[in-house]
Amino acid sequence: MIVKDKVFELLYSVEKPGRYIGNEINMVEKDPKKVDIRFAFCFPDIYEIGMSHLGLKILYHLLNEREDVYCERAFMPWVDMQEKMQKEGIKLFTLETFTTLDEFDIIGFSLSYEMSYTNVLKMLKLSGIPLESKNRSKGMPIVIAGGPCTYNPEPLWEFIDVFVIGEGEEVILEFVDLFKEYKFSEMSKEEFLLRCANIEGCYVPSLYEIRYNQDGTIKGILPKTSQVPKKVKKRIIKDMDSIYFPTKMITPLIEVVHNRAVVEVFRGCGRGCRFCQAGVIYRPVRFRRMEKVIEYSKELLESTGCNELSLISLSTSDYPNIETLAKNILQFTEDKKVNISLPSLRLDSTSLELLKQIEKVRKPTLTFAPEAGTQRLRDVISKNIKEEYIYSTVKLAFERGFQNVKLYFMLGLPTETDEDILGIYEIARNIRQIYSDLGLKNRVRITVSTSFFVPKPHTPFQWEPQDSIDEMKRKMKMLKEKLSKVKDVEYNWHDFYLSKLEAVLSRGDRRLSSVLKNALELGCQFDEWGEFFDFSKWQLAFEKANLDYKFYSDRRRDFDEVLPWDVIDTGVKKEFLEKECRLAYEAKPTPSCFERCIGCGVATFKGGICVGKKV
Amino acid sequence: MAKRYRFYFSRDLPSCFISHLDMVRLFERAFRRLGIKLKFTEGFNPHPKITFILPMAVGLCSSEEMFEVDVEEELDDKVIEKLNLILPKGLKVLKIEEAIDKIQVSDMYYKCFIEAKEDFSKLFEEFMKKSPKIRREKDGKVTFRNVWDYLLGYECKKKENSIELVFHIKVVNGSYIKPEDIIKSFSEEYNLEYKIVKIEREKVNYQRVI
Repeated sequence: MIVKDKVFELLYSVEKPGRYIGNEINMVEKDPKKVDIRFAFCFPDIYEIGMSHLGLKILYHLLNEREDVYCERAFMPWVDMQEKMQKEGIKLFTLETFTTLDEFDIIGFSLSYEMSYTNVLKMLKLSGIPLESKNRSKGMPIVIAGGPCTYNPEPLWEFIDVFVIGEGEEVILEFVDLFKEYKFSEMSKEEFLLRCANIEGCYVPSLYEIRYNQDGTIKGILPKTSQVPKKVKKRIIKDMDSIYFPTKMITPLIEVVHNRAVVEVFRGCGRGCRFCQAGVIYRPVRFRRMEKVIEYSKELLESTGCNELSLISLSTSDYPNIETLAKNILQFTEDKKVNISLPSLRLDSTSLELLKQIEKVRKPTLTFAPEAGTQRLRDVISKNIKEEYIYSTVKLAFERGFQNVKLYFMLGLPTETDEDILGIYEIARNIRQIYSDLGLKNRVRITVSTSFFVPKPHTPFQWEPQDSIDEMKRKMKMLKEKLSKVKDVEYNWHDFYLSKLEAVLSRGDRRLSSVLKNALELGCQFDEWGEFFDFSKWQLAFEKANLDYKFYSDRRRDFDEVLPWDVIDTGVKKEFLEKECRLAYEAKPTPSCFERCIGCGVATFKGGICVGKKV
Repeated sequence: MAKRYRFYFSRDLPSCFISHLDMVRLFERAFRRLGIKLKFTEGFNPHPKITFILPMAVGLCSSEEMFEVDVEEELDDKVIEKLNLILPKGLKVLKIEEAIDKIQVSDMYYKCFIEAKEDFSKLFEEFMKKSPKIRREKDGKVTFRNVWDYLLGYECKKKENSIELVFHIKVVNGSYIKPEDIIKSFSEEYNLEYKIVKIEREKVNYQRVI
């Protein structure tokens, strides 16, 4: 029986079978026999999460524009489906043609968050593909990976043949061209990898050697041959207006996390908050012209039939003329009852009006992310948001009928004291007081959420230690105590152990590969999903590898220490990050790129606002 | 000038695995893609008026189902072909008609394909003779329904590797029983193992509401 029929038989007895049927609006259909290269795009999480991911959809359609390539999709099956597949001897398959992954030429993983690493391994295992790059000979799939996590590729070095660093739209095509040459010639895998390493943006970990000091820190990252670059430079798309964008976008048949038409209004962020990795790796800011945004929005709505359009970026208010853009879009969406959403919008009186006009929801929510409870600490992290501004916006919003306020903070930021934590309580209390002062009768809901600071590679805080689990607990309890005294405030906090593991994997080195293998053997998967996450298994995985997880999470690094990700060049200089870190200690914020060039180094890429390009 | 239309359609693999709510959205999107103006409900959160006359369980295939939709324009048969070009595999519009009266389902036929042990059919006949009941738990309350209050007839055929069960079910005051619940009650009472291979709704009969 063919795989498809076997799979369909299982679908009567699994949760949400719609995840496994493919067949979506705008799915690409091709005859696999008529292409040269079969590419399996893999997302290491369930369908509903993977299909909410814009990057996947862009690259899926881009690759399928080529006649010689058929790109298909595979997602991590949920636990119930995995069990049934294993029982029936069905390997992991793609949704387009129900072909098992081991039959593909290229397997491409999208790495959006570190907690999905065990799922990457599990997907290879479910496909019967050897985990380690060195155990896959020519004829077996080449495994590549891209996405923000590849800015520290080291923990996965053993499993991935080639990491693609940065934005993929151009480099993926260059890679596929080279692969085609490899497939249809006598070229060996070694030669192929060597040539890959010479494509800008491609990191081939097996061609680099790591030497360690006695204390476990890294002594050096050395290319094994002079034919590969010492550092791998990320790739960016210089011009957002000439780059490919799929307006006939694949659209799920079942409910997924974000079920809507999506257009990026710009890439990059000019704000430079010091804890934020996205703010560094996606630099520089590159706007998409308004006419393009409008054109894509129209075409997307027509081709997908979605009733919601989302204009996204890392900080949408920084788009010049966002109001004009929204008004132009309203002209063709309003009578069709299409909702517009603008995530990552800074709230003030103008944007509030805008929100009221475009987001037609019953109970609008006001969201702020001050990240820290005092002005001092917000200056440390260079988060340019003043308390007075929050209060005046909240007052305005309450007067306009808003009843829900969400506040996001981080605990454990560098230089934090208990006073900063109490500042969070003060803000919540003051907001509650504003509501009382207005004499409003309805109930208000204030939600305070805290995550724990996770130091990330390539940020000014990459050298910082993370709080110990005991310290996290203490801080959370203290804040919980205080907040319980404020009426109408709900407090949520992120899991301690998940935050800890995230910190370990984010700044891990090559030795974590064996920890990941141990974790897989111990049954770790879907770590991001609290229900399966078991920190004790991870502790065991570390013990088996003779490693201490605290070495990666809780340790302060020296500024001159060689960091595992130093082999990756984001364009932002290490000296700049160090300078930013020192400014943080002095609680001195840095202006945004929109005010003046702060000399981070990314201007060498000659893109976007660095070369004065406006919308 | 809103009009209400009935769309009759069939559903087969793989679209049979789409949930009821997703089916509503799927047809809404299909209409939007064709540029057909739907009529929306008033109020804060307007949504189109698409009503499936019978909800479809996940996994259920059917040779003829129906929904009603309110549109702001006149439709003709051309829309059938246009829809069938863009609908996912397994969904096919068969015919449309304007809804000038109100109708409801009177009875319907189901066909179930089951894999089970040899004595399944014999025991099932025995079970059906004993005026069986179906246990139902809703909001903590347990109620029992007599199968024969909702059943007009059934047939149990033994095929080579499977058993084919046909149920003729009637709708009583808007409610009915599902064949998979009858089979479940039976298997629980006799402690039998079975596997449903496929369930199809074969034919749906309507009656006018006066």
